[in-house]
Amino acid sequence: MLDIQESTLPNGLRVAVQPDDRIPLVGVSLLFDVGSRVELEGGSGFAHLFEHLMFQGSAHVGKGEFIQGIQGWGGTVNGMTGKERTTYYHSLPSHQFALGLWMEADRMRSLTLTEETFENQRATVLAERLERVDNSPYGQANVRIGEMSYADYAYAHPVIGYREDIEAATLASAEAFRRTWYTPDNAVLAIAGDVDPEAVLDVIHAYFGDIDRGPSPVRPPVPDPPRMLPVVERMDDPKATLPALFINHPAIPRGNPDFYVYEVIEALMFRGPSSRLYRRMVVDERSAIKVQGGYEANRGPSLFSLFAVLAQGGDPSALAAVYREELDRLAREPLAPDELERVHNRLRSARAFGRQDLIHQANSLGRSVLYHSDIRWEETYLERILRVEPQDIVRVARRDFDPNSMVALEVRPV
Amino acid sequence: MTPFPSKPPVGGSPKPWNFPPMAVQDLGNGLRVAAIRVGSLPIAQVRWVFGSGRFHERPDRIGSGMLLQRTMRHGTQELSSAGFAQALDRMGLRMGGGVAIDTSIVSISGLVEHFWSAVDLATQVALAPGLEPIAVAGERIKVGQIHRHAWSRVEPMVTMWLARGLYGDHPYGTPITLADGAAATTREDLLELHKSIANPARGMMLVVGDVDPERVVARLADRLSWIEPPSEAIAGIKLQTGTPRRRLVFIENAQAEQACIGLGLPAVARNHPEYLSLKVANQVFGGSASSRLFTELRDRQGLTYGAYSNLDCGLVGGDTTATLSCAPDKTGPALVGLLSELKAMGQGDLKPGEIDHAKRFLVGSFPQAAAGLTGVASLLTSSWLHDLEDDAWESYQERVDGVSFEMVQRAAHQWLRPESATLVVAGPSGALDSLRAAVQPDGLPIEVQTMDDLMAPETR
Repeated sequence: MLDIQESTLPNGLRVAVQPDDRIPLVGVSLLFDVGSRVELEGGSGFAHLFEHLMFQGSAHVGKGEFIQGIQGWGGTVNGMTGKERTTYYHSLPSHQFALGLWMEADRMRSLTLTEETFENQRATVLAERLERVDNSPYGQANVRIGEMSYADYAYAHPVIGYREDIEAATLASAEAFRRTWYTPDNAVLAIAGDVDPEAVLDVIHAYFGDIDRGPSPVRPPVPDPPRMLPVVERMDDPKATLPALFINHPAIPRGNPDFYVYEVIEALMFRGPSSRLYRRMVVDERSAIKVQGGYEANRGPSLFSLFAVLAQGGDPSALAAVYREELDRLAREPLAPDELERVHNRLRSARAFGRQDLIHQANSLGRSVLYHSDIRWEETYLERILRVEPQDIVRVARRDFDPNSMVALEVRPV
Repeated sequence: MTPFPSKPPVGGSPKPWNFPPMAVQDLGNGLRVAAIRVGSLPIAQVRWVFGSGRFHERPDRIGSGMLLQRTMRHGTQELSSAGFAQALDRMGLRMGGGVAIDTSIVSISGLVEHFWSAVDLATQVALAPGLEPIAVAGERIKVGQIHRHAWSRVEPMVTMWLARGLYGDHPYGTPITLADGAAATTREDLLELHKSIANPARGMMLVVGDVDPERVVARLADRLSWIEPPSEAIAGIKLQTGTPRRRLVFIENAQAEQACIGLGLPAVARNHPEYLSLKVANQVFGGSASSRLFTELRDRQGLTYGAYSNLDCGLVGGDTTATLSCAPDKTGPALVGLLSELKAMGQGDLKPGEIDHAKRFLVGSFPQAAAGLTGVASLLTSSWLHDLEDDAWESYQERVDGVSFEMVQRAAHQWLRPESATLVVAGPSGALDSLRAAVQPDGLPIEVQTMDDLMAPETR
């Protein structure tokens, strides 16, 4: 069992430290319990824009100096925004672990927000949106399938936001957003690496301990899983050279006991060269050149997704029928022992490889605390996966993969 | 409680860290076998490396290398496509690698309990791939589709034109696919190409992971010494000659919402004495998010989501490239900004603090690069391919530390000069308008080209 230590500061900041002395480095992950799901109509993209602002300076760390401070010691640094959380992570040589924590504490307590940096980052985010959505094959379709899949705006709109909303965002909203969400009691700080947990906890208490709690924000309620109507839409995409197909089914949320069954189904269908959909669609029938997807687990409404790029001239409706057959097969035929063994070994191997990277470890630890309030969640993951029985897969597939509860988007190049 | 400190903490002393020692043996057939222990996690990677690649493609079969790479994943002479896939997944193994212009790699990674099975599978794929006709036919269609996709996107357009501009007719200037090359490739062509590449006399079997290096090397030597080297000598890649001319190429892509700008400069080979100095200079220029290109063009001017440069060294030459994407109407200002930063570098307008920062980044990031199996394997692949000193990685941090301000200034002056730059822009017509407004005063003519012109003799 790993020697993980945890602590909660009086101001509510939850901390977990996992020593790992394989290499003299440390990975740090600071997760805020806020994402695009808190955005209201007209305010899309704000959580992501705010993530950019977090790198623009604080009382004692100038604009750009956060990145310079980390990279000046050879570290990696970035942030990522999702529907339900925003994560800031970095790595450093372990003897410099306090530097990263000092800079994180500085921006949590005294972020500098100016018109100049706000406008500059608005322009950067618009450029990012241009690159990832407007100029990307299937970029617009990816936004559309999200809108089709979730009944509730909170989950349906894209994390990066709509152009007009980003253009309308204001600096005043940024200050309010910071006060509401970027507070110690709404955050988890996870550290993995070659450090002494006691020394790390002392430093965290010293740097973060006197930051005030937040105002207990009113969170939008987590809506019920959507009951999708069977909808099929078609879209032309001038950026695409090949047709594509998106299909989403509503899935159980994170925290449901069937979470692990979904993890096994995802691996069975999508992971590895012998996975069912890759084998059938890409190798044997050659109807697709790429197939990906899986379980998008949220605390709120969640999805089980397929995204396939078809061979030239391919018919998305025909591929959808193949997918339907494979889902039906899940509901009909219990998994053979050798196929289950392959799934187990793929997941076991993936877990071992994931542990190579300290940032990956810190992010996993942070998610374990944020979503499960359990520092051992990651450690017990495989154990729970091994408990999934073939009849669990049949049961879940029968219950959840209802053809009358799915949305499909067919994309055609023009 | 003590008040929050206004100054950053001063770290303690760095913990000692050394690159792990390696066991090596050169076999009679020319093959090198090597192993290194990266322990504490029960995983390992087996990697076949060949100092050969797509440069063996016939001129009328450009794209056959990509086709070979993809078809090699479909089984071996002993295992069918389905059997091979099941064997990998049964043991949780994952396969990687590819056929690049002058290097080819087959790697299989997994839990160390399946290590010897991984050795067998990787060896079968590397030396005796199946290349079944049905797999070749399927992959041929996919390569054609990948080709069409790449040739419709501004980023690969820029990459291909930059290579052409920098290297002309040399293999480094050859695109990864041409419209008819893969389509015309037969199974026999692939067998021929594979034979030229999988030459043990130019090969290495490398093992990285939780293994006993000496024992592994001894066993590998026993198992691999039977491999026959080719009876006839196979030519290596020819040296690159000639210098690119300064030019600005524009390729119109009416469908694009964004323009892509690329800048290319000739650089040194990996074993050149100025390599590390130029690496530090590149780090200052655009090597990371704290470099000049990113901080100026993104963080100060908001012109792009990201702007980076990269120093890439092949077996017989190298280049520095920088790329960024931007809105079409920002193309002119973005190119002017890029050239302005390049000019400052070429003039030696550097600050000691920047050099120190860049060196600390390279020194500090090295253990991270060497933290995972693939990172260590890549470093050892590089030192073998480029014939670096035996202690190249053990002494890497010390060598970077030893690069002086003057050395970086000299390298920047020599290798980062606007007058040596090949510039390529791809985008919609609005990008050309923006470009014309920005660069005409500089007098550099804009060559408007199409992708169909890429391989025409006059576009060299």
